[in-house]
Amino acid sequence: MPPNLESPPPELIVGIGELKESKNPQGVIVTYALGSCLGVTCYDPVSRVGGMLHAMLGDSKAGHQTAPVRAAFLDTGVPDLIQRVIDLGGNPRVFEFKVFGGAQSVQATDYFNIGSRNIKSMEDLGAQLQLQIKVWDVGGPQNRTLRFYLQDGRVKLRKPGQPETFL
Amino acid sequence: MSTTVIPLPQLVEKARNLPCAPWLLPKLLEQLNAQDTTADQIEALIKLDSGLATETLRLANSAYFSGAIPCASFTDAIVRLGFREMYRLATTKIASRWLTNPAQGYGWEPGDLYRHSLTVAVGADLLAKKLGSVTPEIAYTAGLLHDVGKLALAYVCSASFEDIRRFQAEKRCPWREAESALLGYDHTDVAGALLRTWSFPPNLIEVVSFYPRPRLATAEHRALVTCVHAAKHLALCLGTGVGEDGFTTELDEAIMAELGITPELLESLLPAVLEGSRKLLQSEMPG
Repeated sequence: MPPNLESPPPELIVGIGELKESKNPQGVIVTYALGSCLGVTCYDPVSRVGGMLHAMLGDSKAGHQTAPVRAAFLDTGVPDLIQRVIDLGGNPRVFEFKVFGGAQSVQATDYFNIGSRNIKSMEDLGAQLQLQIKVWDVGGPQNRTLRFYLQDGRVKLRKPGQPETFL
Repeated sequence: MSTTVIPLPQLVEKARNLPCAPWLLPKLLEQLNAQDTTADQIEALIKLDSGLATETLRLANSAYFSGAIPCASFTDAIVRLGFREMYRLATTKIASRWLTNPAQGYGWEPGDLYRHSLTVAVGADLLAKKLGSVTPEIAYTAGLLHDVGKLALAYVCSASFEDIRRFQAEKRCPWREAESALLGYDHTDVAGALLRTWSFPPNLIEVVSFYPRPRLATAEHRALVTCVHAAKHLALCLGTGVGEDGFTTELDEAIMAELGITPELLESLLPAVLEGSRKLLQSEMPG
C-alpha cells in the first residue's frame, strides 16, 4: 500500500554523520544529498520500527583530522543503528536493510574513489554481520535524497533531474 | 534540439543585472592584500555595503572575538577582527548574496549552489593549510566563487538545460562539455568573463576558468587552481548542495598527485570539511 501523502507525516531529518530512529508508523526519516556517503535503512516489518544512518566513510580507525563521530563511519554506525532499532523493540532476526549512495565522479579511478570504497566496506560489513540487505542502489554519478516510510519500510529515492522512485 | 544560443558578451551583461553583484569584493580583496592598507581604508569600503558593515560590528562583538570593551566603531571592529578574518567575512557575506539568487537549473534546490560553494571553500582552505604552497584565505575565496558561472548560465539560459541534460546523458561526457557543445561556451567561460568585468585579480579568474582542468592554468596559479579542483571533489563526496552535473565534473588525479594531494590526505580532511562547512552554514545561510 503506498504511503498516505495527503497530510504530511512527521519527518526526522538525518544529517551527514547522524543516525535517527523512530517507532512512529506514520513517521518518515529523510536524508538529503547523499554524495559518496552511504544511507543505510534498517526496518522491522513486524513491529514497524526502523532507523536510518548517513555515514561518510567506512573506517573510523583511519587517521582523520577530527575526533571520529560514530555515526559518520560504517564500522561504528551500522552496529549503532541496529542497536537503536532493537532498543525500540525491533527484532534483529527480521531486520531488512537497504543501502543507497556511494556516488562517484565519472572519471575517478582507484586513486580517489571514496564512493566505491564505502560500498565495499558496506558489502564486507553486511557479510560479517549477516545482514539481510534487500536493496542496493549505489554508485553512479548522481547524489540521492531518501525518504524512508516507517509505515511499510519503503524508501522514496530522488536523484537530480530524474523522476522519483520507490524502493 | 531547441537550444537558442545567446552570445557570451550578451549573457554576461544579463548576468550582471542579477541582484547583489559582488562588484565591491575585488576592491576589498585588493585592499586587504596590500601591505600598507590601514583600517580606515577598509572602513571606507565596507561602509559602502550596509549588510557587510553591520556584520563586521556584530562579529567583532560576538562571544568569540569580543574583548572587555565592546567595539562601537568600524575601525575598532576591523582591528579586532584582523585583515585575515575580514577577508573571509567579506568574501562570505558578499558572495553568499550573489550565490543565493534564485535560478532554475542543474537540479538545484533553493540554496544548493551556496551550500556547495561554501563546502568547497572550507575544503580548499583546509587543504591549503596542509599544502603550504597556497594561501588559505585566497583558497577559501576561490572555492566560494568557483561556480559563479553556473548561476549566470542557469539565470539566463535555463531553457537550454533540457537539451544539455539530454546531450550529457547520451554522450556520457562531462556536463561542462555538453554546455560547450550546445552553447559554444561553458560555465567556466562565463565565470571568467564575469570576473573580468568586475576586475577580479588574475588568480581568481584562473580558478573559475580552469578549476575542472587545472592543467590549463598558468604555472603561477596552478597550485591554487589544483587546490580548488581537489576541494571540489571533496565537496562532491559530501554531497551537500550538489547539482545533477556534480559527479560529471572532470577529475585530474595525476595533477593532484603532483602537488602532493594524496587520497589519504583528502579522506583524512573529510570530517573536518563537514564540521567546518556545517558551522558556517548554520551561522551564514541567508534566509
